[in-house]
Amino acid sequence: MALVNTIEYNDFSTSANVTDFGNLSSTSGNNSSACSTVRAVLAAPGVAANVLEYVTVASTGNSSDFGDLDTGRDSLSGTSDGTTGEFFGGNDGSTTDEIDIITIGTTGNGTDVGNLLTGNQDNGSLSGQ
Amino acid sequence: MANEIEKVNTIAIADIEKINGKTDDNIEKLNTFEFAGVTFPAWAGTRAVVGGGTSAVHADQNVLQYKTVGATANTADFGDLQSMRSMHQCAGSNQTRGIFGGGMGRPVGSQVYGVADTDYITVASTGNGTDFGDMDLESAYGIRSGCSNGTLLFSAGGWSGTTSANLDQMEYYTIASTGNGTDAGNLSEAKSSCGGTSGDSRYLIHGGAD
Repeated sequence: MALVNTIEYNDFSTSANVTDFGNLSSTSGNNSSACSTVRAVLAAPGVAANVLEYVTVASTGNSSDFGDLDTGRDSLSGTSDGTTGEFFGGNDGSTTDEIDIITIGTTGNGTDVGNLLTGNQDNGSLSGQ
Repeated sequence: MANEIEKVNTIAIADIEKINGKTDDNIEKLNTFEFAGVTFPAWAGTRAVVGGGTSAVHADQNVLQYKTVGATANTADFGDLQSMRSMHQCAGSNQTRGIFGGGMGRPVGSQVYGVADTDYITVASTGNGTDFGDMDLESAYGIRSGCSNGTLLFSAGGWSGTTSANLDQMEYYTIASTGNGTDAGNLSEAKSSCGGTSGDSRYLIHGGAD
């Protein structure tokens, strides 16, 4: 298997196939994201990289540089409240418990704001309430 | 005092006419202004819940943990998923209900298989996951980001332990109704370990391995 850099989309159609959206800056697997209604911030294009990139969801095109995670890692998960994004755990060479926060509407780096209960990678995350 | 009198004396007839021109409608409009508060997207809220995953010793977990989005804080225990698994094929929510679908099981060493189990939680209330249904296709190496528009939760791709091959299928759940996943359209190619995201009206699938 080989990593790819493609971005494709579906407009929540229950019958349509995907359509090409654009490309990430590099091939990438085990990555994650946090989004607002306008912008999606994609974490860790590249293996154990600290790269954050973003796309405008409504407009097809390639991703642009957003900033850096506090620690480079992959196999993390991400979620948001629509304004603030958080990225949980991952693997930075070993399993990590770090939680990074970003402001989705403003490019910039992630900031460490806390820790998971234990080191944890390949988790899933969501938000509500 | 003299300055204040001068200011009053400079008020023009036109200014007085503007004040007098305020109608009852204008005043009613002003009176109806109220604080609307913060509005969250249909697929998000203030509480983040993290589910499953694998620990430093490569043991799949069933732990659910939570924190307030944006707070400088560690996570706290929320409850447990029904089964230990990592690499969830999909995780997403409406503002009330969260769903953790499928994933990878690894009971013995490096042996890998896909898990179809799907749990739901009430995000506002700590507790264990409850059975929601099963994925249409069991698959491992799934997507680790919520891909919901608040009504439907989508997943895509992954790796089948049954066929030992990547998948190109997409499927969806109706979040408010328990039930199994339903087949949707297809990716451009079979792939696993993709990232996924959404922004109200569009489901994006990025990267992965083909």
